[in-house]
Amino acid sequence: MLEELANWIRENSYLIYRYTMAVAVVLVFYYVSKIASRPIAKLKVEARPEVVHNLERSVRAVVLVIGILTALSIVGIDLGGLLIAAGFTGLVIGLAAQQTLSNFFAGLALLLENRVKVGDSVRIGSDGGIVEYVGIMSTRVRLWSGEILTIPNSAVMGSSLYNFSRSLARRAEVNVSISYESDIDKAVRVIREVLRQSELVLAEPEPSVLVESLGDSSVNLRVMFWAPSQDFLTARSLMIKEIKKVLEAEGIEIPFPQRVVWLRERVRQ
Amino acid sequence: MLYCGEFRELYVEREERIDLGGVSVSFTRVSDEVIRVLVKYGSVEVFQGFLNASSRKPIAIMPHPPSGGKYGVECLLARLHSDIYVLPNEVATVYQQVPVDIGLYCGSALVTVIPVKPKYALYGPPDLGDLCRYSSTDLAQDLSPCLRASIKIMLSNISKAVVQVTKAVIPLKGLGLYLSHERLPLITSAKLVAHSQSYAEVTTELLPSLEVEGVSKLLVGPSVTTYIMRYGL
Repeated sequence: MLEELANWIRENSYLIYRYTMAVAVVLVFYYVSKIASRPIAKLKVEARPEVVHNLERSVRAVVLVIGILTALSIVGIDLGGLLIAAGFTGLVIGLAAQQTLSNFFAGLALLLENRVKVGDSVRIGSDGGIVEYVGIMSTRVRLWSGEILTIPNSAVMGSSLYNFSRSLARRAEVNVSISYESDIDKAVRVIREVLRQSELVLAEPEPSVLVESLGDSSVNLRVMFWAPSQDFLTARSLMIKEIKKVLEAEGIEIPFPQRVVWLRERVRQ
Repeated sequence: MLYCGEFRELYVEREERIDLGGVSVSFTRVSDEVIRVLVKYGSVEVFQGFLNASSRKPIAIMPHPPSGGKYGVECLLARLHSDIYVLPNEVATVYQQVPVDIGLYCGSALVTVIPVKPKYALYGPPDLGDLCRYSSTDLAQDLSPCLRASIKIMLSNISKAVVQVTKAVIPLKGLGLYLSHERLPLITSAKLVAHSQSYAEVTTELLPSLEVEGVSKLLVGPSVTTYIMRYGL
């Protein structure tokens, strides 16, 4: 048996050599891919972390594919025929894996377009939170309630995306209703003063207080002001509280919904 | 003659209080090594902190140029009292009142800067512009003269058309402050060079805005820094 093995090795020595070389080439390219991708992670360029990370992965994948193709050519496989077969296979896979490819290309578009980056405060569709990871296939958002939501990138591209982190400031709107008996000018004046005194309300763009409508039960005012994005909710909440306090202090009523009821007396015959 | 004697060194044994016309700063010794600092504007508490200082270390409050405040902004948007029309190749000079902040010193070290009456404004669009500290004549006039300073802004028009200047955005980093003989704050000046109605360069200068008799003490060193106003004047 040993003799048969020895004979087989002698007859196929060239084939064994070629397969060994192919495996060695793949192993070498695997380590080269790791070494080649390391400098990318250390690059001191102005690029978002998720872009650098995905670039690193792409470089490793490309180097590894080159290694595999080199190994196949050493083994003696016809690359031309392989590429033609790969083309047809790609067509079939493309049709079968539409969703995956859609997510992949959407991910590329997200990274290149710079729509979102890690740390952004966003709302995608009806879900809001902080972006934790932007990958080639999906985006991970930590919702305000603490859960982690992973969204396929095709869904991110297809949804309305509000990015609250891109703006330094946002405009808040507060509706205030005062009674018909109230002095409108006085109400506008005191509200303006409250806005002027607050550190959280920007002086420019200038806040505005408009008389919006004459409602069924009240005169409706629309208060608009700008606040720094990081304190937007705090500013809005504080202003609602301060506006109520100052209107009460000035004797300006915020009325409840009201109806005037007319009772008609039946005429006795 | 006005004298801002509140800007001085003091040693806190038990409690000390300084009133700066609407702004009060109180120091209360909590222990041998710790002092509680409380700053109020009217009845509203604007700052509270604890300072590690023994009774042998002098504490001082001194005026400081407007700082970045809670948002760490880097510019000051000075809204001019009235619009200024500057003819081509002409220079106009305006003096604008700005609030000065309070610098808290322990020995010679600046511990912190406490903003006085901070207001902020957005210059430019919300996504591309800058959040700036805001000042206007209305804002500053309520303050004690010890807490406001006049900044000289030289408006220069190098374009071929008349420019209307409504505001100047000045880099905070370049502003310096001198203390006059009467301990009044003297802030350094700035120059605005208008290239067009929508573009100007504002550069801080090294000299105080007002010339006063006697020697002025330099508290905060100025530097030549430029801000590009690209969203209009």
